[in-house]
Amino acid sequence: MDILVEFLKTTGFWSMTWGNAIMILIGIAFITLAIRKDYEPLLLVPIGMGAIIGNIPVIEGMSLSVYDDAKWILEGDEIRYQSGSVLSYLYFGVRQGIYPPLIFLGIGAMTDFSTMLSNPKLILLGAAAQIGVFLTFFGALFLGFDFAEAGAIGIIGGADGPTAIFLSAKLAPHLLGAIAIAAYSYMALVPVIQPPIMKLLTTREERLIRMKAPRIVGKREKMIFPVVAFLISTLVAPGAIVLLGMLFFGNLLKESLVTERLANTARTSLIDIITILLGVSVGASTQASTFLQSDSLLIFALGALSFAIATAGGVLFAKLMNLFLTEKINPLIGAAGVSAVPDSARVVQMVGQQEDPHNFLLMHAMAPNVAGVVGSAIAAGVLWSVLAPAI
Amino acid sequence: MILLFMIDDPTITRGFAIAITGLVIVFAVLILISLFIAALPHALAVVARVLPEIEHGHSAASHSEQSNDHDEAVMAAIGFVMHNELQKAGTDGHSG
Repeated sequence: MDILVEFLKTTGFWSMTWGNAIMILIGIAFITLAIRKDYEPLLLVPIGMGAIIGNIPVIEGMSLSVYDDAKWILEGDEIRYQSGSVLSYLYFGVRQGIYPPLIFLGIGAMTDFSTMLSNPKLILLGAAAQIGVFLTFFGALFLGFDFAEAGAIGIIGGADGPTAIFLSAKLAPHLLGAIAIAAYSYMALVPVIQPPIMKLLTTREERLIRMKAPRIVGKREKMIFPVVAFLISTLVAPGAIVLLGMLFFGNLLKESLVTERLANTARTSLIDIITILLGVSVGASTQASTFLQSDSLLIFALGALSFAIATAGGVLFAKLMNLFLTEKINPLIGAAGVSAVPDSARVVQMVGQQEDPHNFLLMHAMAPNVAGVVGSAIAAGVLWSVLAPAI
Repeated sequence: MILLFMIDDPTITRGFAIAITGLVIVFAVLILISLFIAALPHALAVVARVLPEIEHGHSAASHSEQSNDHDEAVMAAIGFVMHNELQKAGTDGHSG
């Protein structure tokens, strides 16, 4: 009987807390949303499963959680090396900011910058949407977070999961789980969050504006762009070297036409492998004891605000641009300035077609969308370089 | 009152400065990229006079591969139609 009781004490049921149960339910909810509603399934399934994995209570003394790192232990006169858990090694890529740049490599190899190259003024919409990042940073400071934490929270407004993970790993690793979950949740909820804001800030006449078809972009332009854009961005904001270096490197692999095999690997197998590792390990880092804090709720609230401000910033800036432009742009495409590629561009297309089924805004919206990726990486680089010395 | 409190608080003041500077830097970089992109076609037009753009070897190869695929698809379609027509003719013959 004693043996049975001892065994029961080693099971997960014995040490399960309400927090663990809630997090397991959240994990199941993520998986359900991904399967039933098709909300970012490539991310929510690994993160949801990771949350379930990370919230099974572990036996004391066994290295199982993502936080069980390798360490040296002093036992009497002996110093012993204790290896870390398998999950801690997978999580190493998150903690050290290794996975996000590799994901950017894949994104670069997938991204076609043609629409942006054909209409360069739309790049400004990608910059305007970054107002969400900086206003949320300011709001987080106001709510009592320190500079580094506020910077990491603010980047949720960039609507870019890898960038949010990268910056929070550098500035506020203790908030990484909450920030990553908030960023990916809001990215998944782009079709729900953005349309009401877009409709509220535009008139029917504005939503009906049709834009001129983009011009055909030459091969040379596409090849030169990644190199020069990288030079411009990182000479001004060197903090963005890692993310933008990989993004533009991936794009060069695609556009150079001589490295098709490498580009293909980057945009298929490599990005898939990294997404799996990133998703599961980030999910597993959301242990109830670290995740279910009042700070996490604040982060979620600030994240939603950040997303809303970013969307509004892009739309309002497009309206501002229209005051000076002879060829008007449809202000809905400003909402695609957040870098949730290609979801926010799809939302623009959807909202535009609700007013005029023959208005095709998707191509135009891709320009601010990819500019948003660059803009959020620059914002992350700026925040990192300014705030890292303060840690 | 709240505004005065905010101005007095060094954290808020510094935070405000960082936010504004950050936004300005993002805009500056993207404006520079935008100007570069706008100028690029004109610069390339000048370059093209000296160094005309040639069809890339790899893209040419892929083009010919595509043509082969295309040819095969056309041949398959022709074969399918001929097969159908011959069968129909055969069936008609028997029924007639």
